[in-house]
Amino acid sequence: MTPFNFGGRTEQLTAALKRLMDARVLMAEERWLGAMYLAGYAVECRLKAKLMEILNVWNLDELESQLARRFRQRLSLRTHELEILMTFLDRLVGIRSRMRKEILRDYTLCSRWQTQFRYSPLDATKYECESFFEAVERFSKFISTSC
Amino acid sequence: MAANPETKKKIEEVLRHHFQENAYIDVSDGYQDNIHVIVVSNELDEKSEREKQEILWDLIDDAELPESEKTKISLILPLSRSNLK
Repeated sequence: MTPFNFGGRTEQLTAALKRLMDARVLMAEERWLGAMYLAGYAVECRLKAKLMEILNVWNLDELESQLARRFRQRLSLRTHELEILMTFLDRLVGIRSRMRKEILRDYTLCSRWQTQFRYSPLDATKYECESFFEAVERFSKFISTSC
Repeated sequence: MAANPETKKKIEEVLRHHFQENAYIDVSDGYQDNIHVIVVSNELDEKSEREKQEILWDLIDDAELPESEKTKISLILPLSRSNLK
């Protein structure tokens, strides 16, 4: 398997911040689904960076090997599924038990994100986008500060 | 590893109790022991995304599940019929 591009811990964290900034620009231009599409990557990158931080590794290749060894399962971190990344985080630090009502709601809202948004010919609404953004921002903060 | 069937059953019951018969309700396994909840109902028409999530969460709260089970819910997809047109 070829190494991950931009798979460094700092790169992932920086990408999380930058994709959120990109998303805000799209939101200001009322490109609702495009904004949601990019904002979702902010959560994905934040989760991957947090997993690397917890296991004290510096890139996604090392993280993938560490997780596979620790949990004795074949896995690929080429996934974009927030649910899978959250499950690993929970198995490592029990993050679920720290999720209060509001954060749990934010998480399930963020989990609706999928990379296939980019193929959708439809747009989202302003309200969908705003709710999603709120959830992304709060949930990202929770991930950063709770473990 | 799969989701706890009792938890799924309780969630489904509380949702079926609230929504009309023609609502589509699906409570299924997510990744490992995660749970996905999908509801399609006219009652969700003209509600914001946040409101739709709140409605389903308030109902799920009524199921009186332990927090450890509630946090297994990793996806809630509340849709109005018009969302699917």
